[in-house]
Amino acid sequence: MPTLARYYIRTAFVWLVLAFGLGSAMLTSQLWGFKTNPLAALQIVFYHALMVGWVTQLIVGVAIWLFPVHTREQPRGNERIAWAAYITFNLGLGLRSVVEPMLQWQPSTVVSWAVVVAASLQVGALWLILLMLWPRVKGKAVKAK
Amino acid sequence: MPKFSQISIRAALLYLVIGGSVGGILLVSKAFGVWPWIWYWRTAHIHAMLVGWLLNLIFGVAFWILPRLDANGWRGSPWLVWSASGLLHIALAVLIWASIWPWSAAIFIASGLECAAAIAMAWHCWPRLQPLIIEPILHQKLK
Repeated sequence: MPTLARYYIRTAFVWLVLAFGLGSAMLTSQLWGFKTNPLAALQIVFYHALMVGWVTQLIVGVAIWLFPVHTREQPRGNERIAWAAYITFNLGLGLRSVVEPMLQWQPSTVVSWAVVVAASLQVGALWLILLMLWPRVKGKAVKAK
Repeated sequence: MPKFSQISIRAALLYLVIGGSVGGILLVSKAFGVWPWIWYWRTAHIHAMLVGWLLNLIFGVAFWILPRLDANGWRGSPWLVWSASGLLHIALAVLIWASIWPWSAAIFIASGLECAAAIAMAWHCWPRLQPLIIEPILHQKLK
């Protein structure tokens, strides 16, 4: 398994653990009998940790590993794009997980702009993933005689 | 990778970036309390990600990678998978349309189409879910 895929898949597992941790905390907090549960703001973070951090990142990691090779010289395509996607993806999701609940807890202009940065990083990461995987979605190469 | 899988996976990647971009705009709207109308698009964002991205990708990869039906590599009749994919795209188009211009019947029509797509895909995949059978090719039989 290539290094790149291992990074994606291992980080996906980290997000799975974080998501379940958040889920457990939210469920447990229901027992505390708060009038307004402060952890309710984490629900959107939980969904995104699970569906983006875990599911999407795992899919991309497995796709990097198993999709048809790009060329003999560059079997996984442009690896710089793949690394850039990995960094922006996790930076964006991580920042979003911290600042999005803060919009409810401690709203400020700095927090709002941090949310915009997180959104831009996440959207940028998805476009980089498209750029990285698109050329590898292809039929079997016909060998020249 | 067969033609159907290529088209389905590429469509899934497009849904990922389009659905994700809509999600990004929603997040900016949430941060600054601007463009309140964009929240009508929340359903479109969720469906683009869950159905458009995940289901199209699963359909494409399943058609490509599940065990073949014979030693010649026959994957079964392709019309079922093309129907499943077509139904899924129509369902998504209806849902996206309805999340922008609300239309009460949309959810019934779209869920019906999604059920039909699921049945068609399951019908195609069912006979392919089997242990690996390697049939001896003709010259080996003659030996």
